[in-house]
Amino acid sequence: MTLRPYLLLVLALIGCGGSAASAPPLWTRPGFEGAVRPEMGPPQPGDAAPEIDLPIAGSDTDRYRLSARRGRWVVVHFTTTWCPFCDEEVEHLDRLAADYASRNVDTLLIDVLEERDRWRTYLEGRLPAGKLWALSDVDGGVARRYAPPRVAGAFEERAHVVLASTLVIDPDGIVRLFLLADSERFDPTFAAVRERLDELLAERSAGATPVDERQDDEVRSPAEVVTIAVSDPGPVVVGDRGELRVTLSIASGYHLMSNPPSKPNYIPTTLQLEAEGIQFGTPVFPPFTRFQLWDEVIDTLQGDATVGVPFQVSSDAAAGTRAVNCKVEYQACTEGSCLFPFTQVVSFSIQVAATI
Amino acid sequence: MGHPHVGDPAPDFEVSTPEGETLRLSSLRGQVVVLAFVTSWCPFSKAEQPHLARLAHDFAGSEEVRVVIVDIDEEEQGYRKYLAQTEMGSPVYWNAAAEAVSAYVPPNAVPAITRKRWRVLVSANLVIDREGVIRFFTLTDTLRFDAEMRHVRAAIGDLVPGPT
Repeated sequence: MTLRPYLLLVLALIGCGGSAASAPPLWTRPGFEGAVRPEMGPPQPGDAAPEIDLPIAGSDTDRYRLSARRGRWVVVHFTTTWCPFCDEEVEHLDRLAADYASRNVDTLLIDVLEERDRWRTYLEGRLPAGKLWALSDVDGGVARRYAPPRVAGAFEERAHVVLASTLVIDPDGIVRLFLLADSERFDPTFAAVRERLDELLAERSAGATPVDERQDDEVRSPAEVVTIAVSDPGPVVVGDRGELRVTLSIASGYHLMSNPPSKPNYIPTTLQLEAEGIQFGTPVFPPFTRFQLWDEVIDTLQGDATVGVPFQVSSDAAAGTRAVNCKVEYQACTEGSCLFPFTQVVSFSIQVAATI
Repeated sequence: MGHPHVGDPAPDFEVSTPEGETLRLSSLRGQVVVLAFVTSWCPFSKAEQPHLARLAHDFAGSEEVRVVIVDIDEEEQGYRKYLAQTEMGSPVYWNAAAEAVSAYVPPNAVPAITRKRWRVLVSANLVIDREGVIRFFTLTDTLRFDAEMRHVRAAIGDLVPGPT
């Protein structure tokens, strides 16, 4: 059973198509759904990687210091002995370390919030290739520094946020990839990491200018992605019935949720109208546009969507100009993320003529 | 995911506490059942725990809804640790290797976990209707984690009228 990959309480940041140096958001690429997003906070691709200075599992004296390894690529994976996902990954990471050691890559496996003896015992016989750096982060300090502040807010112990997560750090000490654990698409083989690492290594050796992985900060406000227009019904007479046509013009690339919504946690598009002396009926939505979202299809509103709102002027309404308030609540989303739910209020007037 | 899944009958089972209190799921026919699999070592279980406790408290006096909490995949020491973390308001049953509830592991869920398959159930939540049919079933979802169990409450609300 899948839950929709929306961060409902987070502003969307869109990769800008205008600059040749920027890429579409990494989390929209298959296999990279767990990629950190800018709104989660640092460290992000493009940021300097926090220092790692930790004891090596197999030695009583030696330590690994990231800053001393400038000039090498570094793959970092956080783990713990009790995490079943992490447990499946160990042998695969051992192989990855061996495959890339001759390509100037250090692979680190960092055990978080556990005693060194427990970690050593756990590793016995599990790292046959011998190229993996197994480090101990006993007090969780390193893990905490790598945990982005605005993700997995339910975790009090911030070190837990990075368990089963992977980073790639370049020879200049800059983060180039950060994938959080994705239980739904769990791949213990690190296929996505290998894929991206191969790209990064090829770029560097070809002398290519690295694509700027920072996601651009172009923030669209929910107000600007939907424009609302209401048809003028013309003068109406006391006792008349009619229908207002409210047109939602939705920016390209965005959709609003259907009413009723395709999932219980979706924000349906709703309209509420009020005016003195006029009763408004249940809005009638146009046929919803079916939209392929990852592996399911949902109902949406897209483009120009006209909603019909039946109304009846009370038989005892006074003649004159009626101010109408139309409140439209919606949540605008792209394939990758959602803007905050938003309410737009459109005010207009209806002319009520006296009965003939 | 494979079966059992939403729409399937919930496999019957019997679990107990170390003090000898037992529960057979089929005895709850006629009630809506929230079934939560928990453990002390999983950060997802831990983050959900106060919200699960609140859910159990909210329905403590209810004849319509019953919250069943089963601690799995740990020794008694871990089970006691879970109990000590928060007052749950509902008995917490203990099934160390999850053998009593192993029928709940969907065969195709998280295929990459090959050993100790019952671990797939850690932090899973289900809602079962009055006829014993599964109407809601989630596994741990790291990227879309609903610690406050809003979806569980919504699923209960679909089956039982009134505020949840």
